[in-house]
Amino acid sequence: MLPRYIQIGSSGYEAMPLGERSVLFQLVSPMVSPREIYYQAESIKKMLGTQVADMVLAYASFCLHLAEGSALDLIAHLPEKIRSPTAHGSVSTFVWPICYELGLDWLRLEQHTGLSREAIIHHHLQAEYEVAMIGFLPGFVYLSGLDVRLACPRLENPRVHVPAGAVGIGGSQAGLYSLPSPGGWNLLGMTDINITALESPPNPGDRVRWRRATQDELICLNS
Amino acid sequence: MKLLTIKAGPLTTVQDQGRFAAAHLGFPPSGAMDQYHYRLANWLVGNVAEEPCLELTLSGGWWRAEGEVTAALCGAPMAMEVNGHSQPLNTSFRLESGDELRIGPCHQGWRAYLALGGAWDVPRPWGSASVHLASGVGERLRAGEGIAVGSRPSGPPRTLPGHLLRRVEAQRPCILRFASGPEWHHLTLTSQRYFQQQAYTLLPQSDRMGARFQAQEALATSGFEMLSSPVLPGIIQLPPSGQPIVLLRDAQTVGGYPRLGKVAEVDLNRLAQLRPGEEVRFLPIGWDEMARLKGWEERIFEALFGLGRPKG
Repeated sequence: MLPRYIQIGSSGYEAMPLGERSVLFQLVSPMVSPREIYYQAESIKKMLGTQVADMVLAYASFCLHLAEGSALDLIAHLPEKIRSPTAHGSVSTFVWPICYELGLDWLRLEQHTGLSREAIIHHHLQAEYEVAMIGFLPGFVYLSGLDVRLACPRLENPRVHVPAGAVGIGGSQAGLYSLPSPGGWNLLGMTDINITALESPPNPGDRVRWRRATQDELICLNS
Repeated sequence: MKLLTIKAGPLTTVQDQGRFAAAHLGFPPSGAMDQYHYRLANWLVGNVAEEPCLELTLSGGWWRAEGEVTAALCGAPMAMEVNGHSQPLNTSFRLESGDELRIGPCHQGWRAYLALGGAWDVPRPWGSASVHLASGVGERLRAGEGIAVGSRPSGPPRTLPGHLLRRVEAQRPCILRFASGPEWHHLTLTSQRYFQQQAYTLLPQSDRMGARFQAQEALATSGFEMLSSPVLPGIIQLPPSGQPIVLLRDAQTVGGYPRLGKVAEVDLNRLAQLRPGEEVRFLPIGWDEMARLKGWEERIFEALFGLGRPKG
């Protein structure tokens, strides 16, 4: 009966329908890294082949959207145990340019962190980030690994329009708006990276480092 | 041929079956809000089910044909005229070069689909022509712009068989069948009962992303922490206000609110025709029943379009 307990690699999941053609896998064993979830989700996706149209990964769950058939049938026919390699494979590191002079919320960031602009930039550049999740909004990248000193609460009144390429801080997370959207994160700079236009977009668990760039070095996205 | 826009309605966009290959990048499926009438419109003009249509919201527009094409309108009853002569819905008709097509507002229902026979010359990022305004995938149709469609000889005219006619204004309150979602059991027992017994009113703040509802009693969960987790069109979310939102075709890919359930696909099509102020009730069904309903509607379209046809 539902939900069904499925073991993928070293993690336990509950599989249940989320839609007529969508299956949700919720982690029941202790939290694992985004990389681990990505590998485990990839294992089951590979096993199912063309039956899977796409996959959405979140912090402790993932969802398979099926191209055909029913979610119930798929869940009923899943094996109890699915082999998955442990996530020791190679991790890609992306180095993306950022122009801090185009940040919009410096005053707020300085007030909340009690740090100078240059100190914030220094800590932001020092950290190596992990892609934690992609989505919610098209092309939005959640990055974990923000220096705790840079945490800053979201804006009380979210912006109606955040420009494409805005790099922000929301609470203790860092992130990138690939496409224009509304949003409530504190914006400290701009990049010209749009992951929805990359030939190989990052996957959860990949690493990101920021490289300081001038406005002229960015290929303007918003012309 | 080209259909030139002289005046576009309040919200006219190109939509199709939806974009299913870009969810991993955070893109919603988008696509026609009322998939039932969208597909029927394509059948009337002899297209494959997945060819794009113009989704007309609340009102139509004014167009001029440059070249010949077979056209049809399905969905909300919008008054339609060709060169000043009234033209019925749910039946295909021929536009000759120079003909003017005018489609007025609807007083019942919300969305209508204008199909044009032939292959549409439109960009299809990630396999779909569906416009998603929020992320800049395509734009709303504007005056002076045309829709180019590959020319095709006219086939025999088609009229919708009577048994497929659905009145968009029929049955109020509209019954939305749903199966329980991952966080359903976090609703208090009283709230579970309220949810299934109250009439909910559709609020004007609703859009292609979500239908917002309000009822007398707000719902409550037995407080718990939730991590953002996948969502999709049809998911019933419960924000802190205690008033539910049904996510629609432009739904985000993950969300942090409890997922009470999932509205049946067939009922999402009917929900797309509801006007703000109209009422719905939520009726619980099992997931097996959800699958059966979907299969039932798919068989209707397999019968219409033919089995084993190549995918558009």
